[in-house]
Amino acid sequence: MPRLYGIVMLLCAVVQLVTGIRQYRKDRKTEDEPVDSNVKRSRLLSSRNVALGFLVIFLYVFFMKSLGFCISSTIMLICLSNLMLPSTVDRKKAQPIIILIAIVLPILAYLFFKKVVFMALPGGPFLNDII
Amino acid sequence: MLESFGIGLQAIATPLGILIILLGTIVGIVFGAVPGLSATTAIVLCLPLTYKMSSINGMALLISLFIGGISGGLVSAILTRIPGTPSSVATTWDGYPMTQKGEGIKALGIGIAASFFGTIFSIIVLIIAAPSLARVAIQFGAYEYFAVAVFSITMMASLSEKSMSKGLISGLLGCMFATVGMDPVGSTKRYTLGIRSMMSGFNILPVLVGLFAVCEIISYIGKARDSKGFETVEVNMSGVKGMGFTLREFWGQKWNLLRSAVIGCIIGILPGIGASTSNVMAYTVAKKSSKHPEKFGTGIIDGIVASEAANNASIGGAMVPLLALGIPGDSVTALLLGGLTMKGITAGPLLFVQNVDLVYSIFIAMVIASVLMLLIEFYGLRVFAKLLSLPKYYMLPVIFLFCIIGAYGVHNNIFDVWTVLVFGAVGFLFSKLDIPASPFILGFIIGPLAEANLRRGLMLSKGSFIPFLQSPIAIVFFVLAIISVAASTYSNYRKKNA
Repeated sequence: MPRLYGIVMLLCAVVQLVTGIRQYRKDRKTEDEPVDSNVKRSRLLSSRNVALGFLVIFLYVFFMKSLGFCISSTIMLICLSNLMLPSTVDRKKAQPIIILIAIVLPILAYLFFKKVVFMALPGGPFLNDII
Repeated sequence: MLESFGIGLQAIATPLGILIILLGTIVGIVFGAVPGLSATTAIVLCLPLTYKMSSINGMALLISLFIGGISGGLVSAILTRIPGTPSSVATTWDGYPMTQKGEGIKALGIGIAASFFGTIFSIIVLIIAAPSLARVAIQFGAYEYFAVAVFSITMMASLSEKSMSKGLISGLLGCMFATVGMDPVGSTKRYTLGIRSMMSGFNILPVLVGLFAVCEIISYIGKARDSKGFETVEVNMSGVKGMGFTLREFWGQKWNLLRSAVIGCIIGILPGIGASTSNVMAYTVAKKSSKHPEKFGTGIIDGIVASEAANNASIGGAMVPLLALGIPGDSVTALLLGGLTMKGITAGPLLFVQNVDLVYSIFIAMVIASVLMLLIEFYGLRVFAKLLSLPKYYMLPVIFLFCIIGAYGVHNNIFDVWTVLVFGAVGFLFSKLDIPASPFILGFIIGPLAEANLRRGLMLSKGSFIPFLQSPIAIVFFVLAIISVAASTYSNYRKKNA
């Protein structure tokens, strides 16, 4: 069955390739407008932030078992919230709320899921001994 | 029948019974609304609570969790483009665009009303036709299920308007990822890479969370820096009356509601296929039947109505084989069957004779839960509107946290959390390459069904394809599949040459 899926996907890929080449030849005839340097800088920053976002999530999952759910989630929430802050928002004013949510929410979630729902999230090196 | 209703009403309409249904509906809605949690999770967690309850109260709790859970998915689907449950995937396609246009309340209101209609319609079908419909469903064998799967797969063509080849690639990738794990017929390992956790394959919940939630979060991170005020959505409640839509608008959706509810019922009755398929199917059929199919996906109520009516209608449909034959229609009804077994009750034809009070109590509990769901979500509209005013840089990371908890909770295994990350990357790649994600989900769900039934059918027919074309039910679905592909191809051809 996977072989059948692969063969059909190959056929679709050939169709897509032909369509793509035709579209490229059509687009090549129209001249590209020069890109503004501010737009270039903005795109670069956006790509950097996307890469950072993936890195934060990757590290969060990687360290979840060793650091525990609470610590890793706190760090993740602080990093992701800061990555999502628009340039129009005052970062210093937003930090106290971000840090408060990042510390309180994972602890509450951990306690709720452990004590009420009986679902044990990774406790890490400290929490399993305390609770 | 009236006497049986009287017996059922007497059994369930006690203060404790009503309170249990109310709590079950509220918890179900909350679990359905939070991405990563679902009706299945809610029922699994509350099943131990039913040990000490009577059979009637226990089943009433589980049923109300089911109804609340399926309906609750529309809240996050509409407000954040992250479906709360797999049964609300299609709701995101028009629900979120409506929120972006400032019509979030209208989207929620019409979704709630469509959910209510779908549930009540399917309950009526369940009450009137349970034994007869179950007799039809039992005739579905491997050949018929394969034909249904082929018809469902042709929906991929309709879901990929811009480029059919990209849509098919997406759908086939979904089918490919679904082959990871143990072969359903021969039990051989496929693409497990020597990792033990991969032997059970990828679970739908982490895949969904990754494709939608992670992709949405990463996309937002990419845009956030230069955003000027789009981190919150302004919702003007001053002109909103009732549920945000007019009676005329609702009446204009009557055929869409009816058709989608019928689709949901039929899909729900067939064991093995559930609300996660019915919402996509109903949406696609609504789009094909519409005079303005190009408006679907831009934020119109038709898409939401189709999706929500169908997914809630699957509830009553799924109860048909459960009660009449003792065969669960989907994972949730499998848990309900577990609940009945725990009480020493055997589901099947004798249930209607030996436990009439239980059967009719279940019907009445479903009606009461539907009404409570409507009231809770109606009065919750203003609360949901407040959620929209929360900045996304606070809301999205918190939603992501609950998504991770939900994904981890599937098997209490960190592998499912890695799955979220992997499919998040896949979803982001799809968005950059303009490849639609919806056919991927359809392929992921339907692929295993198609493969298992094709192989079972070939084993039964000793390698011959002829029996597939000798079943009248299968022929009907194959013809529908051909018509569906031909209509999509013709429609695309006309658009390109217009």
